Amino acid sequence: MNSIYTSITQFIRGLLAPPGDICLTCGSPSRLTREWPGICERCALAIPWIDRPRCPYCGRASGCPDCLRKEAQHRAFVLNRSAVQYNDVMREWLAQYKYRGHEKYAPLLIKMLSRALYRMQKEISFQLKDQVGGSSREWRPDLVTFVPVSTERLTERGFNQAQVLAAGVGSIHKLPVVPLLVRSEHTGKQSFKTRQERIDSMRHVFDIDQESFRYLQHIGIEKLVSQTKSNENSTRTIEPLRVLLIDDIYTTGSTIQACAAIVKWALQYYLDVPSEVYSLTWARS
Amino acid sequence: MRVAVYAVWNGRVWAIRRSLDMRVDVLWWNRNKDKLGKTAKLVFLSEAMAYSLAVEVEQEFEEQPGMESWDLGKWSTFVHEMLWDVKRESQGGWIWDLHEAAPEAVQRLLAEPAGAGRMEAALHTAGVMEELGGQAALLSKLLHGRSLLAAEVESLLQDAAPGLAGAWFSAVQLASLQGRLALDAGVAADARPRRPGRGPLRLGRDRLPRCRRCGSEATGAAPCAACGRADCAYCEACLALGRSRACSLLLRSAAGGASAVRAAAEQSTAAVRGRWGLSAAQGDAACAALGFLAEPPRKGSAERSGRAWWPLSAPAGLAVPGGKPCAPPAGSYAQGEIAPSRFLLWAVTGAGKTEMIFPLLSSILEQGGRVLVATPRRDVVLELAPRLAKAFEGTRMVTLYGGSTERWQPGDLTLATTHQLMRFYRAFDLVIIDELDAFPYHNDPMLAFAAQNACKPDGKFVYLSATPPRPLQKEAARGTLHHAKVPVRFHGHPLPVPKRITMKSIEQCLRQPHLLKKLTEALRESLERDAQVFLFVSRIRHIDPLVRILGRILAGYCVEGTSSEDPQRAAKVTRFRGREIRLLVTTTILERGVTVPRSDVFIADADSGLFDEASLVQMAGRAGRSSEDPAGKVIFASPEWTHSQKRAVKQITSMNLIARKNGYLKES
Repeated sequence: MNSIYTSITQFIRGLLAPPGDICLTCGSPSRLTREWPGICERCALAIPWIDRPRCPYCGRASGCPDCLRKEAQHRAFVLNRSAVQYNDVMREWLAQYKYRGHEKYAPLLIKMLSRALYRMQKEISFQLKDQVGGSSREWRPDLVTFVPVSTERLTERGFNQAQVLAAGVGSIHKLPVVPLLVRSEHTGKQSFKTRQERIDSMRHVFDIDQESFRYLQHIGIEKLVSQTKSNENSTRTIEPLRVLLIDDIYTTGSTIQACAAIVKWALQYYLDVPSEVYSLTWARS
Repeated sequence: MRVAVYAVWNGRVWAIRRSLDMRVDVLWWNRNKDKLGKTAKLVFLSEAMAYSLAVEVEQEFEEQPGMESWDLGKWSTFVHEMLWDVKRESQGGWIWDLHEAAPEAVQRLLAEPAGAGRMEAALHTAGVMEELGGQAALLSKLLHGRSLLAAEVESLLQDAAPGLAGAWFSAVQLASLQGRLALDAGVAADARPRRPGRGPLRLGRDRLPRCRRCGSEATGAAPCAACGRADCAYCEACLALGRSRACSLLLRSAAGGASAVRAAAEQSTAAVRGRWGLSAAQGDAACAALGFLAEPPRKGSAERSGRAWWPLSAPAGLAVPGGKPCAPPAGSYAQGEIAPSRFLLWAVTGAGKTEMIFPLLSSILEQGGRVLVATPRRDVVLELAPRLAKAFEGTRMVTLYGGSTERWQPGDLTLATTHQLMRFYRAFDLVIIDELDAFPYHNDPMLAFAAQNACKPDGKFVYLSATPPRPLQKEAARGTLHHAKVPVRFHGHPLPVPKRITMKSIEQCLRQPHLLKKLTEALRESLERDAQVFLFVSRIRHIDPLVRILGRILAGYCVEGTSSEDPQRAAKVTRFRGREIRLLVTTTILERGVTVPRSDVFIADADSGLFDEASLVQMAGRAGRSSEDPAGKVIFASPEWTHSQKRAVKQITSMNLIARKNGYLKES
């Protein structure tokens, strides 16, 4: 008798209760933001955005000794920008998504990365305008690619976080996403390694994705480039293809460096296209 | 993951089976072909089907007339029709009449190199099958009483049998054919038929996929690279223990076929008290519990009377077409089947619950049984572990919590946080659940499900609580639940009964601090009698302003506040214990487990909806814990006198009454 009574009152209470959802990240019931999928106002305010990168190369929010090293002069990528600083909260978010496999985080991370891309576009366009002979058009990448994971890790995890991020950003910004790379060798988890070990282990890890390159050869790379540059007077030499490389986190930059080097080389070698690789990552540690 | 799928004909019925290593199945059925009858047949349907689809095909399969004479094309169409909404799965089919020579495709299959995760050697060569048999035996021994996902099995093997790690699919397949292991999916729809007559609204819900490990509805779905499905369902509720997916393998093996161990018959109360150093009240309750442990199992007490409490108890058993052997889904007991029986040890705050579990544990351990003590909090596990280890020297004891190094060790006495229960399957003869009403159990069907799964079907449950949830209280009152009450604290003094102060809500008092006068006077009185004062409030945001105001009014006494958001919480509690802080303003986070000698308790806004009967009783239980100052003060300060407050006071006074009647109280 009593349980009928309670179930009826529960039902009515449920109807009368104010609309509230459970925040994805902190788990408390509260009103969710409209801007950031699945999280509450408080969590949204606590996101450590990198709005003004101190280091113009790697996009770090604090001063960056790495970019002053000699090797850094010969980087294959132009610059890196990241959405957020990798603090404890962000570490937890990424761990929830990447290691625990909580895939409801994906829309949130994509949206955050997309915000970073808007800012990156604005920043680069602004710089280009200042340069002599620079165009007044907005800077846009021509094609998006991502850091691959090994087949082993892919079956273990079920998804490649960088690919999901790239696909999401590609669809928001209407950019073509092409898997240019494969991971040819399985290295241990990066997070257990020192800086030098990371850099060493990165050699010979990545290879090009043959199928994608055949496809690009087939459709002709001009198609991608012409989309953005059709209006320009073609007195100048051919402009390089702008590739946006996406990953979840930038720590020492060795992964990005290795990928960018191969992409640059392969685009030149197979398609005879000069290219510039820009990196966009979700977090900068 | 993806697995092979085939059909077996034994001359009477067809059954669909899935295989992690088809070579093992081919050899197994070839060896047992005589048992299957003269017309035995294997039909190989697919060499790599998404695991979730394979499970679905197996569950939904219904025999069609004339199947024995079907050719491959017909079989293939049949399978595709069953999975109508899914794209065509790859086919590598063949049909083999087992009593005839194997077709070429079978020979090829046996000769081919094995895939990743499988035994490398060619299985049909001499001696290899015997070796595999040994591996299967070892594996099923290691997985006794476990419910583990593939990733967890891998981690266990790396610990316990490194030789098998990375290549155990073949052995698992053999063990499952031998019936020693059940191969399940992490997430799958229940196979049981729809219940008729539950109304139109209920109909659709039964078919939602559920997590087989934690029992929750699987709410997530995402494209999956492991099985190739675009909507591979996964469970979001138990992510913390590794992701349970529709295509992930869940291995389950009940511990031992023998019936659960029972305690030896009646022991005298005096003997129990003397051996474990218990008070009269503790001894009586422990003996009642021991009597319960000695009882033979009874039919389905957890099922019949516990509906309200076990939200996931399933009403019906599995109906399996074709009568093939199939493990019942976890957490459900068919009607009339034996289910664990339950005992409630209702001990007031400060009664010394922990001491009372010792005789219970020892009674089962002495008979060679396995016992589990589950508690909601990690710090309780860490605190209890050395005490148990000391009391049960020579017993294999395992302590499990997130990040524990003993994760995969086998033990007779297991002490675990509640989430770890999900890794067990019908493993324990006795499960003791501490603080049943505390946060993780309270209203969490997932943990109730896990607890029920961890216990043997004819095992026993003992719940420990100072404030059992309403449904259990009612069952106890009605007499349908075995229980024993410990109505008195170890020091033999009655529980302090809450008194009432009528005052405005804290919200209003913060705006007009003079309204706090009644409260501050009572606080000052307590501080002057040299007591440590807890002041519980309902909202975290009230703490800081209240600390400021009280600090001004009660100048000369150190007033501090702490909450779940305070990084220095532990330090403040220590300072409070050390009498450096005299008045601590806090929320319900300190309602349990904190013992401060010579303390008084004030609860502001006691009419708040956030304080239910249980938390009021728990908070009141912080007062008068020590024998030097057994008569602490408890004050409920609120504008209104609510149901919860009334019931809390009633619970406390009735316990005192029982204690007095039984002569447990010192003064009487």
